[in-house]
Amino acid sequence: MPIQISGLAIVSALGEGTAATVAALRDGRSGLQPNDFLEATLRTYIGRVARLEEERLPASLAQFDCRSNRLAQAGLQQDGFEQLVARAAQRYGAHRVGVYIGTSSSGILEAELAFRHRDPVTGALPARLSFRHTYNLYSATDFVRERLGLAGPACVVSSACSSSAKAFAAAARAIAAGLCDAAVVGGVESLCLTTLHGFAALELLSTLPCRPCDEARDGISIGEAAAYVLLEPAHDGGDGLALLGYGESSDAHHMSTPHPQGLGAVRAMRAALEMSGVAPQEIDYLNLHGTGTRNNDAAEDAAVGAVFGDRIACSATKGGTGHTLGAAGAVEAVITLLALRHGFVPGTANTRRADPQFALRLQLRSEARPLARAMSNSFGFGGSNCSLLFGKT
Amino acid sequence: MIEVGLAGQAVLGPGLADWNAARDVLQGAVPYVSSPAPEPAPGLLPPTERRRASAAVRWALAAAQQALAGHDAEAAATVFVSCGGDGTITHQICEALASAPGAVSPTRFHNSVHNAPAGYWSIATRSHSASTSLSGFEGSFAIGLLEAATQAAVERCRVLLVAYDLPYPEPMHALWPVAHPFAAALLLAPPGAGPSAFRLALRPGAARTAWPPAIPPSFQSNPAAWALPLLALCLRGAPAELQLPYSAASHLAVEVRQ
Repeated sequence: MPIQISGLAIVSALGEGTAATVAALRDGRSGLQPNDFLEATLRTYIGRVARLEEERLPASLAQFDCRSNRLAQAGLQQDGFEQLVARAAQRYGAHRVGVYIGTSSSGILEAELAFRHRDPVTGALPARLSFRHTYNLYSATDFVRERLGLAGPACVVSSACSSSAKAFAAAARAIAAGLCDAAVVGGVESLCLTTLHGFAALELLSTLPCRPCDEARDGISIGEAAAYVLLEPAHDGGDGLALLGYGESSDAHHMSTPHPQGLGAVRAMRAALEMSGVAPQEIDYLNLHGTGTRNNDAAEDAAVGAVFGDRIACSATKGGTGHTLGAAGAVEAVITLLALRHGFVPGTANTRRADPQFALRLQLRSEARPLARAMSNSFGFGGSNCSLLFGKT
Repeated sequence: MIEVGLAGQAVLGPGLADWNAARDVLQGAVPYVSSPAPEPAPGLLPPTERRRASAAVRWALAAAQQALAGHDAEAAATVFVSCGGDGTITHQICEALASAPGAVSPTRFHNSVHNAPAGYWSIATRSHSASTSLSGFEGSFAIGLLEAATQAAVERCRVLLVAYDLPYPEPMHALWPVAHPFAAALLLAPPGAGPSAFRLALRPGAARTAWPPAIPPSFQSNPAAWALPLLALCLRGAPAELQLPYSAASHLAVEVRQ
């Protein structure tokens, strides 16, 4: 620690690339739209990435074709990211560059759709369905690794909504241990029926665009996104952004409900501060996990209050992107890094009035302000927590 | 090169009821005898969680508990690794989605997350330690081993690695034909913690590895069962080397030191 951030790439409902993302964040725009995914039987809003239906994988990677890997590719093609990775592979060697991708569903949509077309006699699935290349979780990393021609350490981290935040921790450890010299870290999560109907079954989907931390918040909006960073040891030519620390913890409380006082979240945030040697008052901005459910936001408020009091500017950006689940950690890491790079505190799209019970200071509208250090929170089912701390060096 | 010590281990599979049974087979003291797969009890879990825990969770937790015996759960970070996760739940959800999407069970959905065993483990042991849940393909065991060893080396802590995979039900079984359920757990620690230590390095190219002759080759279809060649070497009592499948581009070279 610290580890340099040498490149950023993102595609989400807010747009393609970092420039479109910054513009949307500055304007407080929401990318959420009424659900029109497949048969769209659920009344909810989604954060959908346009044009994925037209995205084509190269012929050599055709077996990997599915919505998730198309999204992964659309993300890699933003902001000259593939060229940056190619330069890193040239500098260090392809076997010295790792790939750490977080996803909670990978290409499961392919299996969901295949179950509609089972052989009426034998029950068999269509022969074209490939476990290895689509609905296996590892497909996300295997595709990115193949697409970028990398041969270093590679795995999928899948810990629900903290997946791609934890991917940063795993990659940072691999670099610290000398296992690789650089790593592509990211999150890929595409829309699928399991997550839409699963969250509907848990009664956690809002029928409106989600309103994180609003007094009237009533659930999440699901989104899809791919976001990446290139991590490498400090060298000349970066733009001064770095991963300063990470903190991981487990709630040990409940499978789908956070600890009410956010004790796991407190541990994760404090661990990230401790690793970085940064005091709470030195943090200029906190990107909340901020999903928009009653319980999640209240627990996070309690945790943020315990660690930071009411001094720190906080916002939740899922009103813009939707909750991108396994990709949320990487999406919000990229948003936090863009806030540092461009000097602004993102607002909380869709939210009108912060919950008056909350102690945290919610930034409703974006505001230009130089930032030196910022944190991003990601918490998931199973009580899986990860906080990432970024800064300018 | 990453160096890590082995402080405890567990094995669970058909004909391999626990580590002692697996050790006897691996050492050639008794022949492998095929038997029905064990059905691990969810005893570790609080009563409220027991009925919700799926077979995959029970297998992973049984192996974890066995490997950690005598050690403090709170003091160990965990790395869970599985190629396929919970195929039974995936099957049930896909079936529901194909017929009546409104019928997706909320409990099944929250149990469908790949980190369900990690979540149940932390609830059962009241451990707040860091935990991660990984997936690979045929290299899943080596992927988990490398992450757990890296964490032990970098964070200077004990790390409990749990690798598990269960056969998917049909029709998905035909697309990924895992022959036997299997789980293994390794308690890793900074070197010096136990009689064996590993030095790990990632190398280009496919793994050339020797499968323990005592174990039926059909176990190779289960990514978690690649723990067996490593554990077999640990029993030799002499330094040895092996290669484990990692990814399509590389293998994990393991040096076992005694």
